[in-house]
Amino acid sequence: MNTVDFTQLGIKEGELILDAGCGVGRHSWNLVKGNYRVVSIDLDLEALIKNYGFMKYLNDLGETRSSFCVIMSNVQSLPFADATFDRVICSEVLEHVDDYFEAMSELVRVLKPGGTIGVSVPTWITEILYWRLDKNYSHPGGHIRIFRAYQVRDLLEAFGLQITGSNHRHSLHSPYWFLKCFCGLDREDALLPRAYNRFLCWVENNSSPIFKFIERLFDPLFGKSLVFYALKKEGPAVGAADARAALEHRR
Amino acid sequence: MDKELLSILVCPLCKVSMEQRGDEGFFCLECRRLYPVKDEIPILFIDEAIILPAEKS
Repeated sequence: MNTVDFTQLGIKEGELILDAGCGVGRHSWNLVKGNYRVVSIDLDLEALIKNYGFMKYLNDLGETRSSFCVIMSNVQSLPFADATFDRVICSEVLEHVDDYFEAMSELVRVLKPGGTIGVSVPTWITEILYWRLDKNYSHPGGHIRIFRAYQVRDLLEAFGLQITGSNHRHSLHSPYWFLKCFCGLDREDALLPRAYNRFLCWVENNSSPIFKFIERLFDPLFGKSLVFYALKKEGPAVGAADARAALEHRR
Repeated sequence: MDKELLSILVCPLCKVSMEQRGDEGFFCLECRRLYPVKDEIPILFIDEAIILPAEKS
């Protein structure tokens, strides 16, 4: 289940791709099935071990065509030289980090001019709802801020990126988190979220065309994630302080 | 872990290439930080690195 669409990002065979904030996998697992070079990073060692384990398992099954590695690293101080990657995926990360200007500055720095980045954040409408339903939804290490769509667009533009597209995703997942927050995030045994999760797994495993169509229909209204695609143009690098000043000046 | 991919790693602080020292980790000649490897995974956190003393000439 990808949030950032590989076709829309313009990924081509053999390219070097960074999955920043990869968590336990998702994008990384689907990337390694293609012919790419995949670098996955995250703060969470446990998640990285699971991610690497599953990619090795796919490799043992002969289902990977990519070379890959996983690195424990902070997105605010990336261990890569300038203009290293052809594509960068940063899905559901900016709402977690201490300083999202520093994070964006690093992600843009390591992206090659002419390369593209896919950035996703939770939608404003769903976050407002979840934050109100369960006070535990927002916590240090978890979601610490809510973005409006224009804020993400302005942020990317402040770093000199050219936005090439945007969309909403995963509206079928929004009710799941609604139920989770309604019943209490810490209540693993709650019946309704568990039942709905089984339904989501069924949709995913069966690639149900009807439910995929319904999801696309509701995505713009009640999508769980908002995704922006952007191109890095040739030109001088924009640092975090410059981008912050540019946005403050705009306000 | 793919060796060719690991060769793109630089020190997260100095942004210069590092020496790969087998199981010991990745060593930055500039700031003398040694970044450890756990369960095959390089830990490239500035705060988790060990600063090695300068070698006597």
